[in-house]
Amino acid sequence: MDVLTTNGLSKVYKGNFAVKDVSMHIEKGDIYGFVGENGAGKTTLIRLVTGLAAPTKGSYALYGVPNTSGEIFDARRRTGAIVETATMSRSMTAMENLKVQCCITGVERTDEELAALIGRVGLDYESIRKKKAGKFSLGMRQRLGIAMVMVSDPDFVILDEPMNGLDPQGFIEVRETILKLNAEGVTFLISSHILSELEKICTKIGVISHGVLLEEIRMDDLHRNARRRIVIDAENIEAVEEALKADGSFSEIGHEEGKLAVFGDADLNRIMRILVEKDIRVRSVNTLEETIEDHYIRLLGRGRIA
Amino acid sequence: MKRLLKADIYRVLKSRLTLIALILVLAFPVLIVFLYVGIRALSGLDADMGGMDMLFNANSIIGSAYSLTNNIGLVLPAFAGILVCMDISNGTLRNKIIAGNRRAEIYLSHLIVSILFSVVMITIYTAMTAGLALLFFPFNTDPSMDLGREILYFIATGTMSFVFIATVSTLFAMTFRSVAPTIIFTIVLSIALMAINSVLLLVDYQPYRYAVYLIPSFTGNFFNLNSFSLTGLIAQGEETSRGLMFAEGMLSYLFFGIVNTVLGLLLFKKRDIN
Repeated sequence: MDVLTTNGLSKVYKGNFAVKDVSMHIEKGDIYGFVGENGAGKTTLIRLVTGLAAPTKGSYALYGVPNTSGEIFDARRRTGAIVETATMSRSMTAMENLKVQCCITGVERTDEELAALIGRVGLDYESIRKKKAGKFSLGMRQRLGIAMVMVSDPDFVILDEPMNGLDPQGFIEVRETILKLNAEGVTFLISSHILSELEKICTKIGVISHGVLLEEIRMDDLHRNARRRIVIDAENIEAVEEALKADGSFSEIGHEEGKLAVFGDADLNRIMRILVEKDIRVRSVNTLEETIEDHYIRLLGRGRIA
Repeated sequence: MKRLLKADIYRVLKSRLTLIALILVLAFPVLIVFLYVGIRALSGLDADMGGMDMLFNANSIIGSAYSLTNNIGLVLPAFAGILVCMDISNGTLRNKIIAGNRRAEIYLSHLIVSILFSVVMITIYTAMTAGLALLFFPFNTDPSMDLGREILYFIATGTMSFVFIATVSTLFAMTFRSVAPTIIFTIVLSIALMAINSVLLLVDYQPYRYAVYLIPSFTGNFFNLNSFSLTGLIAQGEETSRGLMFAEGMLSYLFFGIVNTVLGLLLFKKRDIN
């Protein structure tokens, strides 16, 4: 079952498409990574599906409920989101903000439950009990924002750049929180610039550029179709390239950060034998799998951007 | 709607602005009444009022309590607007939309809380002013007037003027979504309404009769407990009963309040939230 489906969703600002004909599918249980450069349209799309902005064209459905239906408000109650930054009253404490969020979402929680929730997102309740949210660091506010989202136990959580402002420990804690909640059945849509972090948690990614969704791919498929490459670093890269090309068994040879990359199912033993035969001094040889980052760069580099 | 109201009331109660407003509505009456006491003492009119009883009576001091252009009359609507703006500037308005609350409910919740805030504050202010003024100054009554009814008219129209201005400040806050323009436009509108009132009061009686339909705050001119206005009114208004004028005034406030609310709802429903 799709938790979120968009159908040709578009948003025009001042005559320009911020999002153009985006059709995406997020299934129950997914951790959907939304990838794109700054201004690609990630936040605009999130603003559309959270009801903060109205689509110019197209539609979307949350849990199968179309956005034009009056029932969309009930569907939204099952959704939590942080859009751009965690939003809260800075003149209130964490507990007070959570109490307001309880009212807004219509749930009842005891102080103990809320204190436990604060602890779950990595904040020490005792040390921040009297502290106003305005005095929090960016990372602390981000964690409190996640606690505010989780207060109503949503089935679907949208996080726009959740790692912003977090230290490495914060990264790990947020990642673990996401994975733990996902294991409990919560579906996620996460936009982030930090592709290496997304790679660790996502089950599916969508790549957006200039408002156009270029690709949606499951991580399993990405890994299955991932291009393996052998990266060789040597004192004389030109000599390595010449020797491998002369052999004729390697169909795709390229350069990567001053090193030589041999793509496809190249035989490592054969490469090593050629290099030894030619007496070429080698610094390192690594076999690498394609990462989200490689895939993303390759996708954008292909000129598939509309 | 109930849960939004609960959230907004909680937020307002926790706001430092509410505390400041409370201090102001308690402090201003003390300042004003003691200013009158001081002036009266300095002018040596304690023993013989010498015709100055028109100025130094409780009627005029209490009567100005509901004025939209006196100290608190300018401050309270601005504060109500700021409280709404804070929900927008904090971004907590976004949380409400994301959580599946209808925009109409969000707007109406803000409006109700603005009205509650304004009415509670102005009631405290008026009660405090009346209490202090009656301690130090005489209250002039006109035997031909039904005092109880006049006090009821005064409180009802005065309170309604603040309900009306709360609809204005909420409209401005939700439309501009910024503190500065909300305060400026609310204050400018209050002053403009009072200026028009003052000009109309200089002309003949007949336009009064209709001005109330166009300028809601105009009603306040007739129900301000000021014995001079009452006397003047009686002299001028034989053809119009006080009850009818009161009803017209209240309807005018209600009508313009509804217009503001409908306009605000339409604008808020269509706008994208940043």
